[in-house]
Amino acid sequence: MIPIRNLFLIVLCILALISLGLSLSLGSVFISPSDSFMALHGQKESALYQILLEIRLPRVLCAFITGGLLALAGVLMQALLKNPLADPSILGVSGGAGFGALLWMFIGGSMLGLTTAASIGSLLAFSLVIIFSRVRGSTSSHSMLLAGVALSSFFAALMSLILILSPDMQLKSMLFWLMGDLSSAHMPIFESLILLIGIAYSFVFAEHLNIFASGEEYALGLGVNTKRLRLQIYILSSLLTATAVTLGGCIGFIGLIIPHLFRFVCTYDHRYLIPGSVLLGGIVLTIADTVARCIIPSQELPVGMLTALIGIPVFIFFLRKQTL
Amino acid sequence: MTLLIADKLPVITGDKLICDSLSLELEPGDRIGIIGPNGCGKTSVLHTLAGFRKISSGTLTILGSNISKLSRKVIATKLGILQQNLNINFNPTVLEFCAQGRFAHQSNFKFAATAIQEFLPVLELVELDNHIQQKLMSLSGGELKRLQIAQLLIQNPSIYLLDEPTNHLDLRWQSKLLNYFLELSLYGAGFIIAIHDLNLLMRYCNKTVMLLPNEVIQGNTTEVLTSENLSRLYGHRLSLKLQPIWYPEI
Repeated sequence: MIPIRNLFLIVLCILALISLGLSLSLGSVFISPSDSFMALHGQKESALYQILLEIRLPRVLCAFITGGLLALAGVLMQALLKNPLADPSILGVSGGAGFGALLWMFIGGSMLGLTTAASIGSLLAFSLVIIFSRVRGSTSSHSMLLAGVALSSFFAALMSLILILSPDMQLKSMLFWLMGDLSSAHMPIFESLILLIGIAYSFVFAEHLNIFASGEEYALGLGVNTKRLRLQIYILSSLLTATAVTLGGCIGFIGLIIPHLFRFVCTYDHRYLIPGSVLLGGIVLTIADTVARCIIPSQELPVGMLTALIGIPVFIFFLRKQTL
Repeated sequence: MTLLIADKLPVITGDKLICDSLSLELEPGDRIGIIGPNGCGKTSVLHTLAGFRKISSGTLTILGSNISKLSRKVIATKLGILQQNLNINFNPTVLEFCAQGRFAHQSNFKFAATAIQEFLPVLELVELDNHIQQKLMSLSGGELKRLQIAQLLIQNPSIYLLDEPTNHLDLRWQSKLLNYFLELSLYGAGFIIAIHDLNLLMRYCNKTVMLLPNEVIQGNTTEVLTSENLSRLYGHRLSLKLQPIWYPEI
């Protein structure tokens, strides 16, 4: 008999395929699965082929990968801080990445350097959170969260400054990108690779994270090098956030809500939480992006706005259920 | 070989200096009791001896190796610590919790095998063998303490640091588990036990460390445990009356 947790992961894999398929079909033009099959085997110049492979597929994959990246970053940050409120956007890491990327756009840097600029921004933000939250030689997760919230506002102010100074031509795309935008998607090959490395790397440390969840001294006593583990989580989660921000802009609540959702319905065990959250994050953002581009005909909503609109009620639900 | 040698170690908790130079030796078979009033730094002493705190001066040697040269995993195969309190954020089953005790003995790439057979004798000892699929949060305080002890025994170190091991345990379990530790010490294990119960200290610990403000008194329990020392330790006039006490055997 298959254990229920494994069964849950299998169900999520099936749901991921369904959400990807649905997202490919839905849009301004409905493309049925049989039409998709015909288009793929038909001529490359056909309109259906172009819509499917050159517009929708990159976008759908981008949404899935961004969701997975943000959810994994959320799992790692919540494990690092042992605090359910930790999330790339609340800790200011998304803000740092956004600031880095926006500054890069502002000075006219190429798209190739965008991920590097965002990575530097997110690492800078996370480093500042750690430095500022250090009180009398020790860092508590509460002081890290407070420092994160403060830095988040600081980076938001810096981003506003860049927006004010930006020429009108750049302004609209920058604003849309800030609210979370997947409309200028490309095939996310590099980002998929980062996500796969992130999953593999954090999966190796799943048992460490399970032990670390019960406290620093408990983990030290059982043989976990907590100092090294913290550093690894810190670098990996910053890199994941930076990649997600570069790909889809500042999309909030995925990193915060998805790990809770998986814990609520399945388990706390990081061996399942890591792949489960990646799949669930991917599914949720794929569906959210599909809704964002279909809900108002001939107009697209920024997906980040939609995740916030859905995320806040879900967050309040968990808060009232006392599962946070 | 001496199990643990602390040489002129400062013990600090936060900003407070507990002791500027702690020296002690744990030989195989030793059971050293640490006593002192609440907040005197017993836990800090144990954490310092476990290598949790950065050593600024002095040396700490376990089984012939300087602790600063060893990885946490290697240390955990030689030295195990029973924490006073357990913070359960992740709510594993009894079996999964036991498996974490084998963490130090496994490679990073091999996940903790939840081999029931391997853990069953220890779980039988603490009478939790019928609760293996039960979640930690559903256990009582006493059951949780017994499970912590089971995990420590599965970790199988040579040096045991026990922070108030009898908390939450009834008289039968106090006696049963301390007798078991006594038996382990006969096979060469060493114990350092932070404890409040002076009867248990007298019965189970051959050596005692008393943590007085700005002073550490240590030696054989029968020599250290005097009315005068206890009066100084607790700040009250105390008289010690030694008489045979009965404890149930296992």
